[in-house]
Amino acid sequence: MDWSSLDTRIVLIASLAAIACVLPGTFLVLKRMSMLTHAIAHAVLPGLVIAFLFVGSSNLPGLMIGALIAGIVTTMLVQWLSSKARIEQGVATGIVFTALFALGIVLLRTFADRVHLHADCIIEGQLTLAAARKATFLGIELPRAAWLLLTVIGVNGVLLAIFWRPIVASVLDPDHARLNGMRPEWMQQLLMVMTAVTTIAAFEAVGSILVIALIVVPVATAILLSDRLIVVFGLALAIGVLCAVLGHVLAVVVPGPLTTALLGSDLGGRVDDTSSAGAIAVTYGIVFLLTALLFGRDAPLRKRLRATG
Amino acid sequence: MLDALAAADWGRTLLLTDYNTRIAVIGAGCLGAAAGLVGTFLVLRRRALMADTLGHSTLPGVGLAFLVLAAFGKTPDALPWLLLGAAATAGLAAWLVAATQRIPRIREDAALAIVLGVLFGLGLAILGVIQQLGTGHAAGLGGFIDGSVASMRAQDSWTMVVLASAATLVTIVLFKALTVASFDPQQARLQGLPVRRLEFVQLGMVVVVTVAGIRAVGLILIIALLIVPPAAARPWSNRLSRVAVCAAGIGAFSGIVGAWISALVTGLPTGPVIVLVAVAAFGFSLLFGRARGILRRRGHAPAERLAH
Repeated sequence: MDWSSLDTRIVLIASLAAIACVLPGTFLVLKRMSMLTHAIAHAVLPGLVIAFLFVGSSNLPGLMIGALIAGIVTTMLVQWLSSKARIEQGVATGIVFTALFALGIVLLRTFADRVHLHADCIIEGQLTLAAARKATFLGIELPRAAWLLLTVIGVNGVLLAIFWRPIVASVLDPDHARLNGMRPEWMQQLLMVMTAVTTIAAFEAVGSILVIALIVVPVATAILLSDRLIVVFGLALAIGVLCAVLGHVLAVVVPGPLTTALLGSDLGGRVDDTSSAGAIAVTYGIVFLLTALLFGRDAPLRKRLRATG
Repeated sequence: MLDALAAADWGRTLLLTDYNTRIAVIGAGCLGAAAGLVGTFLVLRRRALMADTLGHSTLPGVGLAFLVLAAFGKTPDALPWLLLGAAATAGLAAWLVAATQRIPRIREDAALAIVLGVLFGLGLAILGVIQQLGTGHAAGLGGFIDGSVASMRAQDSWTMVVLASAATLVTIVLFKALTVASFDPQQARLQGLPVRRLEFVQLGMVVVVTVAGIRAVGLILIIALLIVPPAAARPWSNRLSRVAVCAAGIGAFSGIVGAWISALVTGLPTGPVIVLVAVAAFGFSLLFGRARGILRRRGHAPAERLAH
């Protein structure tokens, strides 16, 4: 394959998205809230559309605030429905995010002439498009999405560094944290805000649905390999970045020969590459599967080796 | 702004004199009823978010079926074949979730999320390939993500009616057994009921409803059709049979009204409108429901549990 500067930028954005997602992802998976990210990723759509109507597309902070408000409304509604209206959490999550997403799509279609968001781009993500849109800051030219992700990584990183102890304590043992004078509820809210911000920043690049793969799969893979939180954290970051690079390479290298072999050269010959975001998610899946079967602490292969050795 | 022609058009749609629209609206009603009924058991088993994973997992199946049809030189927009592919990968997803959950340290929420993200990613990768094949028809595949009644032909609607009716029929026939197996698996086993097989049938019906609905409602929002009507029915009664009937009714109502509105107003997408109608019904029930509505709840009476 010919590696161009566009490939470099795509890989850069995908890696940054992976890093950004692992920061809150580790805690979400440990708190058994993996599916909530999926809900937030869909539910921010109406906030994004309404913000778009008020501030326009060029005002990135305005869009972020709109989406953030929608994300916070989502978590509050889910909590209210499950505690006050006594509806099971899964059902409450499903109702809230589908309602908001449906509202967002209807708004998007109604104001289609004024809002230049494309539903397909939000759902599927357009890495190539994101890689082409550049912005210069401090004399350095990078894709705009990369700047956005770097900012989010910076803010979340600082927040995590400051609140590391209370967040870890609240996630692993909320009751114990409360006894020690911490506020687990506040830490949970902080985590939700971090998740919403990350989701919004990442889905410009990878799409609202693949955000869930970036947030959950590297962490789930890392959990199979270690029991120590800090090690899980580091492994998840490494897996996230490696798979992002590998996924893009696979997206460029595999589809052409594969479709030619399966469909014959007159049909398959037309295929060059495929969606990098999709291929990255598949790569995460393959690495997770291999880890679960071969390398994990409880993997069948390890057990057999232990039994024979 | 309405000239005479547009007004006549509008009147025709309003009264459903257009054959294609009428069949599509009736189909959406059947789909809603089936989804409400099947969804009641899904919610009862606390597996609501499973519907989300199954819905998203249909994408690679649709894409693969398309590729296979293209390879054999057939017209690749034959809906039944695409739906068969969708059902295959949705079934695979159900199995994968169960298998992933058995890995030590991976919990249900993570298993659902992993399968959803990876299979949808696979679907996007396959769609990316299909778009480059340039065989035409490929544009129609986008309709599975969004859902649209307007572009459905009569035979597509009939496919939906047949699948929805089948799921409704199976659920009604097995209603008693499913009820016992969902409430109290131990008791069901003592009575000699095949509990595992019933669970399998129940998930199978969820797959059938999902597959039936992706063309009209879209694969992202299909979960709403399965869980919002049962949640809207719950405040009206504490008895499962009544909740199930009520959920089917609310589902049918949402399907018909939603599809009808989206047929009337050009540019309004079908799936989201159906979902918003169902959510409105849910909001109304939550406030005014006879058994558990917030406004009808007296003092701090303990919440009555759902019974047979």
